Amino acid sequence: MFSFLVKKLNHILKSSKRPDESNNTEDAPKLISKSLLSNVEMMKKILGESSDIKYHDFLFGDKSQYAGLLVYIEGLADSKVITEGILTPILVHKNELFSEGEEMSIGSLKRTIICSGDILESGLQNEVVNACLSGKIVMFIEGAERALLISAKGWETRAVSEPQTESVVRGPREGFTENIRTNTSLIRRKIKSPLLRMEHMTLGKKTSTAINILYLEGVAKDEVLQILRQRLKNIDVDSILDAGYIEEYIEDDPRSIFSTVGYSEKPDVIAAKMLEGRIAIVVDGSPFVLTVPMLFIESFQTAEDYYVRPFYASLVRFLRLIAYLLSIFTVPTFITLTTYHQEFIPTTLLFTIANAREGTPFPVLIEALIMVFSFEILREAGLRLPRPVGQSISIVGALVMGDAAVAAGLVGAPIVIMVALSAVAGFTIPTQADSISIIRVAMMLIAAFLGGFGLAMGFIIMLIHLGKIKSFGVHYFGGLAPDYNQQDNFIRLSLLSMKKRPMNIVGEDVIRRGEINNEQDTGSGQ
Amino acid sequence: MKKLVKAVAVTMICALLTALTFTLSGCWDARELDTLAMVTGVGIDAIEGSDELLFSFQIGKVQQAAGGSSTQAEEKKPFAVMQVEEQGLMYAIKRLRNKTSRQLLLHHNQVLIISREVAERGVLAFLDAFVRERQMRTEIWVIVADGRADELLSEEMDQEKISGLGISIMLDDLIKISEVYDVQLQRFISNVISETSEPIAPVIKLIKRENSTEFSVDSFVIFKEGKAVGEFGIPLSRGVSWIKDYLKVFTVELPSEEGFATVEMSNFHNKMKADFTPEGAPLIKLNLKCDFEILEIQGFKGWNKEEISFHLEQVASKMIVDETNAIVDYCQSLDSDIFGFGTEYHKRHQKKWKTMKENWSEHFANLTMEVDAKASFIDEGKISDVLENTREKEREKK
Amino acid sequence: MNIETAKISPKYFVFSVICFIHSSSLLVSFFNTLVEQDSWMIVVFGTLCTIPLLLLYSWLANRFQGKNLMEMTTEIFGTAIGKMFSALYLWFFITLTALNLLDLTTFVQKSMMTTTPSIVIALVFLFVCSLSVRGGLFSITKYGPFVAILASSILIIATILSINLVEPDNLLPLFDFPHMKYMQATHIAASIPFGELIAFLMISGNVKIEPKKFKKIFIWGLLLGCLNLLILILRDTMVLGNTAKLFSIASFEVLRLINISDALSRMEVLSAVVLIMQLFFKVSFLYYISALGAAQLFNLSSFKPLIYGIGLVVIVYTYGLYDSSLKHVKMAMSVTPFFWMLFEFVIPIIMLVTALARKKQVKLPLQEDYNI
Repeated sequence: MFSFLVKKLNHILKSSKRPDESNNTEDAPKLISKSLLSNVEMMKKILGESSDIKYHDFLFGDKSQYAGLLVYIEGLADSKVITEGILTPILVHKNELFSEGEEMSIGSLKRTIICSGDILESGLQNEVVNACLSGKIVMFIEGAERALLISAKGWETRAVSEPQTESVVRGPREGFTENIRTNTSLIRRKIKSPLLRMEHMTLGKKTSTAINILYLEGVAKDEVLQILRQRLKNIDVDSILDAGYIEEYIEDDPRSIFSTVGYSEKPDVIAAKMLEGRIAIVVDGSPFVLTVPMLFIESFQTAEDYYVRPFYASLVRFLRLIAYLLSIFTVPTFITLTTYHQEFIPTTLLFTIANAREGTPFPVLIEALIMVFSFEILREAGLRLPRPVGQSISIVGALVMGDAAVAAGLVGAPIVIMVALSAVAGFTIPTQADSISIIRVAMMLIAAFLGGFGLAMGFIIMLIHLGKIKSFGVHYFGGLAPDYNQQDNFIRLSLLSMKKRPMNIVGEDVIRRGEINNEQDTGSGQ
Repeated sequence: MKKLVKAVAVTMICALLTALTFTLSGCWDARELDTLAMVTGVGIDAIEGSDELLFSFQIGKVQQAAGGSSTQAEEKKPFAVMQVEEQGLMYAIKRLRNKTSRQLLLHHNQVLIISREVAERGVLAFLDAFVRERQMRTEIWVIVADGRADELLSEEMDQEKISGLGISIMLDDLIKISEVYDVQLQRFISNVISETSEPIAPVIKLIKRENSTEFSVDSFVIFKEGKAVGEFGIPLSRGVSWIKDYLKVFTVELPSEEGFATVEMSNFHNKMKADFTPEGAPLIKLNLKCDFEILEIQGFKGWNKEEISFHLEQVASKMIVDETNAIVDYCQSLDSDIFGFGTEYHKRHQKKWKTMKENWSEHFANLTMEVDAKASFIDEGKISDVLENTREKEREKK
Repeated sequence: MNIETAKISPKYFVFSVICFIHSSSLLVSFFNTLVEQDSWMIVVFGTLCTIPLLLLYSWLANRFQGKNLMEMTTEIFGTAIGKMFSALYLWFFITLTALNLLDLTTFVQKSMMTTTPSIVIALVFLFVCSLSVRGGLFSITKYGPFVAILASSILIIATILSINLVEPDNLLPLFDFPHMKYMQATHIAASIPFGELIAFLMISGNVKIEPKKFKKIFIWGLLLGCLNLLILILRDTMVLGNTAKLFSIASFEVLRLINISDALSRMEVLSAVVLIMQLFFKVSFLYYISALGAAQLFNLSSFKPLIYGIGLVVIVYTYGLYDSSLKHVKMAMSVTPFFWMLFEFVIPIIMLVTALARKKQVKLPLQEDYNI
């Protein structure tokens, strides 16, 4: 039994480390053959006999002397491209195809005949198969060593709509969709600079997910780019179904509670982050785009802060910070004060709380844990259940958890209020919501164990952990030290004052805006 | 291997901590609120023919609010008084654990009520526990009860059910008038341990009427060497306030033969100088300035406004001088320096103090006061003439 | 060789010094009983007496650029005697760690949790310190500015709230005690809270500053830290008057008296929390340099394996130091100042003289990334 536990722990520890250099044992790449028949057999062997894979062979040339084969997946390839872009030029105009004496070649087909803007050539089997699976049309020609891969992507995608997770009152409402090309085009529309670079990668052995890395040349730090490329290359998994998978593989410390990779669903947010020197990672199939490196303070910043006036934005940001602290520390402080340090509560308040606690059977910690877990269950249930049932559950939850429990004498009213306050406060910072739940429970346990001293120790442990985390070489948490560039940390000063990009993230291109010459402006005023 | 050992150690510590948290929540320092009895007042009475004292603890009881209707709970008294006979406070508290189901929580104690008998016997001995014990705070009020202390603790006040809290709120309010009521334990102790000063404490009387009981604060007790030796009432207490510059804003009556006025005095400036007469006896020079505002005038037939205000200024200044001299005389007769004159001399005349220290009683008996008071009239309210004289003035005009 | 390669900016160094001195507000009780209402003068005198000490340390840091205390002794005296002196200093730093841990344990036990066994408090505290030490120099000094500014703000807020309780007359009479008491008290103040700044010589090679300017940041740190201590003592004396010498922790009693309204009363919890954070800073710093010193003494390449070992040694040592707090105070008032003088004054003077006599020095080339 003990050795079983030991083995399990060993396994968990080993497997949570980031994988090192993967061994590259590549066999010699297989080539396609010149014969159409053997190519068909090869495709059928690799892809199987699925009913959505179509094979269409055709003859072309003025005397129909050339044979060709189209392989495509119905539903992925746009049939319009097949008819108008490929078959029409080849079959209909077959008499004008090749002038006297000119040899038919893949090259001439590609460049002069087929009407499509994105055609690649390939002679490798795995490239051909991957292209077919990605939605391209593969064209084999009898006697040619290479096949043509014609891009014809035409599948159903979701339209660009307002993102569900980040809504704003004032600001653009576009959100990313699941199509990688739409997403990158949305970003391109925001940053029309020639410095915007895009690098492509394919990850996932079975899913072959396309990943694009976007950055601004000169603004993003080179070292971070190198580290990112290296880590992405080292990902050796079966499937990348969502951006969240990649997040864990590229983080500095995947075992930490705090996530060091940011994400967003809105193009303007991503564009703003890229302009500060971060690198965006777009994953095909996910409307969430990742940004690295991420700092702790980013959880408290939203896009709307920059579209509204600075004073109000500073106030709201400060409010978020207070909400974060409240969310974590309200319930543990309450437990500490009522259990260990009753002297720190004013007398009349103490009598009120004592009144409420009289006759309740459980100690404060157990009550708090019951309420916190009930709230988590309620929240999770609210996410999973279908819409029509949603209304009744919320009413039942509020009534049962709140009123009835207090009236029945199971829990005291102050605890319900505290837990409700702390839970709602946690929602002001959506990116940290998961870490807040864990930290809150941990603090509750520590506070119940050692009182005020324990709470102080818990706070210190949290600070130490925050101080040690690095996100791609950049310190995660600034340490609340006074610094020059504080225009955007816990308050947001006017945009006029943000002259430089954040020094710890940016590469060389530091100046964000030039000097605004106000002297010329006095004409209109007076 | 090292990682493995560390992982095992961490897991075991976490499991242990979790288990401890759930099981040992009743141990060590954690005390649930419903296992505590919150003391709101401590009373000390004398016991005939014995050295022991009767300690009374007023414990604020909580109403059962959780579950059920709370209409029946209002019948019961919201507090209980527990009593123990012992020589020292701390042992009394320990003995009380055999009598009640809850531990005492002294952190919220508001008052310390000493009965007059105990005050006359001497308070220094048991005060040690009140300063030494961690749960005791030095912001509690020290009060002498006219009669028995446990009576004060057992009665309900009109507005506050729990008298300990009520007395504390009442004294808090009285401080806004004059800080002479500010007899927190901090100041009491400060005077007790100083070389020459003596503390005072207010006296609370219980006045029983048919429907209610009144708690009234209208006199003060003077201590000497920890024993209560004298008492003075409200008018004399104003003298203390003049000398020590305790007053903030307060209302006073100014009776005189020609008429009667009520004024509100504010903006006090008090300069006290500790000096010596040419013969070497101590002489205290007081220079008092204040402003007053007329709240009510009765009488003063035939006087106009300027004459009234001038006359009132004279009356007020004379009142200040008289009260000051009266209280100093009274204290000299008891040989109890409640004003801190000794400390003043210590602070200002360090070298001479070394010789004066030993026979301060003599010096204090020879002490004379030179009081220079000036009350200035600043405002008169909404009307300028005396209302009852207005009709005559109207008649005289025609 | 110096095994700590991290370089902190001088801003963090200054704030570390400030935090270090702040946490000595508990040690005020050592000389409070001697001079009562003149304790604030002792802080001023103590600061003035410490400044020459700091100049001496800065001279040493400048003379041996990039080296820390243990390397300096090896450079000056040669390997054998140098290692002996290093061992002495190692003992000194471990003792300081244990003493401060004892301070914290007694403080927490007395004021907050009376029945919890002190071993639990000490173990938990030292465990959290070890988490900080494992992160190296960056991790330890990272929160210096935050703690220092938080402590100063709370001090200022509490002082403002207690202004109505303040009676400046309580500071008189001045110089009421015989001169010898003042000298004794100044000696205590200069050696116990302020002289322990010699611990910062262990990281003198790790600050991103021109070595010539080291004394500037060192003295700035001392002055700012002492300013806080001065305000604290002045406020306590002026509020409590002659009862200040009765209480073991005077600032608590002052904060208990603040009662603006029912909500703004009972504020000593703020003071307790801040004191715990400051003591955490001091203990983790001393712990760190003990581990660093031990690693250097035994020629290891990293101090990380030694952390838990030193921690256990410190805990056991704490319980063996004094039988009771009465003895602690008695020793602190009579014997400890002289003993500490040996480490803080005598040995550095010997180092100075020997370095000049043997003409030893180490100079580093100037680097560009200095901040001041």
